[in-house]
Amino acid sequence: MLRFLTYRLAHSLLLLFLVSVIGFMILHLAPGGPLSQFALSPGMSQAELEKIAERMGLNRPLPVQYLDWAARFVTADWGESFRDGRAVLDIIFGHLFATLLLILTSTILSVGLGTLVGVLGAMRRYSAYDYLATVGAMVALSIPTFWFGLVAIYVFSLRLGWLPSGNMYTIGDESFLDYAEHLIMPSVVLALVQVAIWSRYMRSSILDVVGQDFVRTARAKGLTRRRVLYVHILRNALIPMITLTGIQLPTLLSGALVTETVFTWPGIGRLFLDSLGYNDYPVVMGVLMFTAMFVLLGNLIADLLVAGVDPRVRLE
Amino acid sequence: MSRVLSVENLGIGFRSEGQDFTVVRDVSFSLEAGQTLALVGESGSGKSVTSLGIMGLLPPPPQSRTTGRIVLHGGDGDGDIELLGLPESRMRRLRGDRIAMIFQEPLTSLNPVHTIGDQIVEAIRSHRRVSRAKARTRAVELLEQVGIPDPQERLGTYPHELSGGMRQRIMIAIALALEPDILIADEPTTALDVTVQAQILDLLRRLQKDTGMAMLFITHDFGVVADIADRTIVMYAGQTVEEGRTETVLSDPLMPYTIGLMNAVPRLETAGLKLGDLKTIEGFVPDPAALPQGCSFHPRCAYMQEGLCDTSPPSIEDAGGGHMVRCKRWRQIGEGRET
Repeated sequence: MLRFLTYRLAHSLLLLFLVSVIGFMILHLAPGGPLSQFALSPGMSQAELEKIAERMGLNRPLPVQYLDWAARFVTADWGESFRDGRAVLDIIFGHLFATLLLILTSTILSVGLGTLVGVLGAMRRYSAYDYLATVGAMVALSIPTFWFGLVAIYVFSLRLGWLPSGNMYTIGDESFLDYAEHLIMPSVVLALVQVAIWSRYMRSSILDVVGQDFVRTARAKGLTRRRVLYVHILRNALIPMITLTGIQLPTLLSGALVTETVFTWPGIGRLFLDSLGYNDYPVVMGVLMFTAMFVLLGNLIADLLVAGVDPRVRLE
Repeated sequence: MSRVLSVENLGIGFRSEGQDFTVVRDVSFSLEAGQTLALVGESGSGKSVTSLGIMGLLPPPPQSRTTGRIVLHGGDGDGDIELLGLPESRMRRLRGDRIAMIFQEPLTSLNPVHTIGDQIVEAIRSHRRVSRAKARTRAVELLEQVGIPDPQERLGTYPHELSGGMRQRIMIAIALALEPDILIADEPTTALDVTVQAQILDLLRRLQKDTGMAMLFITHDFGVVADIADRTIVMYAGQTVEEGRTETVLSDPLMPYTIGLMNAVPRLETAGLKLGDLKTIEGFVPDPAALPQGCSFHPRCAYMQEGLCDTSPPSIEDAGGGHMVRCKRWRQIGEGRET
């Protein structure tokens, strides 16, 4: 166990290092940069631009800039935003709640619904329902999230007027109901693809387990159908789903990025896109590293959970 | 000796991709308390399907259809129960309680994520209203009975921590948990080492003596048959082709298929049977969707006579003393052996 954790920690650190180097390089190699917007200001002289560059530390060689950033990063000082000078970590934590609320709601939705759809599909294999679920999943997987989001806004906000078209709450209201009302569309839109993925994996995982000998044993023991399904089939079929949830985290986060943008949801995804637009390097790097750590931690937790529920798995 | 199960004219068919085919035809037998009946045949002869049919574990209609009668005879005062057509809720209560079953693959027949103890306790508690603690006490008793050392500690172990032989013992413990009238054993020793195989057979024989249960023992191994069965049925292409007391069938087989099967057993003494160098049976069990005309075994039969065996199917006849044979030439085959 200790060896496993040490190994995973080292592994994660190496990955984070690579992510930071590649992210840093791509960011700085991209055309434009933080200075380009100042350069357009009327009456801006070259000397003044250089002064700004010096203040931002952008006049130094790239490796030096990276090392400076990395040295501060490991001491939990993630720098300050170019835009407003606030600490990057403060900005991220300011947007964290919105994103967590969104992805948590949509994960609960997709796990619940995906499991149900998948289990029913497996139990009634090749039935009309099963074909419908299969086709539905294919459609959901092929619709881009942003398109579905825009259609949802058009139908439910513009035409029907049932739901707010964006933001997390109404200023001045902020009641639980108000939050819930704002949450419905973005979380459903984000969950759509996840439900499709979950139901497909769940269906095939169940079919894998149903054909196993121990299920026949369970039935031969005279257990009720319900008990065979919950205690023997589902218990085994859900184990690979834990791993899948971990693996799906990046998909979920990039889906959140699109969803947050479409619904002007004040989360980390939108912060990332905004910061990119402003060439706000410290915030972009901060969000990048934060999501990378989030994904790595999520996968570690998934692996620990699998080891917890499957006695055959030994963490070595 | 009391009769515990009667199977009469059992027929089992499946539907696959719009096509119907029959895999078990007109099979009849009965099980007596304290006795063992062996069902012998190659893969595809219908013996496992027969056992699943008795357990009510075949896929529901229209995917499968079962005809004939399967009657479970009541012990003390209970009436007879017709198992075919019994609602699932009632069938479930008999399964594991009155009729239990063990399987061929001990390595995969136990649920990997539950402890041995839980899997035994679950079997007991789904049929009897007893406390968890009481069921665990019974589980320890059962493990002791099937020869598992340190039964108390074993309750907390998972299947993957045990050997194949041990796991088959656990399966037997689960099957015996509710003292069934009938134990169906579907090739329970096929996947095990020869030494372990002998141990498991010994165990089953001892347990049968202690509990008086009837056993339906499915196998393709005549060594095992000789070891454990009182009566033997040989099945081919879903039909009974020879049936009788085990000694009679083994020492005086009259159906060419039985003779072929026995010659295919390398350990068996075949010198006295004067069967030339016939060692394997050529060909395969026929596709149930395309059975040959006449006797379904004739294309593979060493005794086949044209115009007789390939025209109409043989009926099953009594060759004396309840030794039943499905072959038109059994008299010639028997006589040939005398001389």
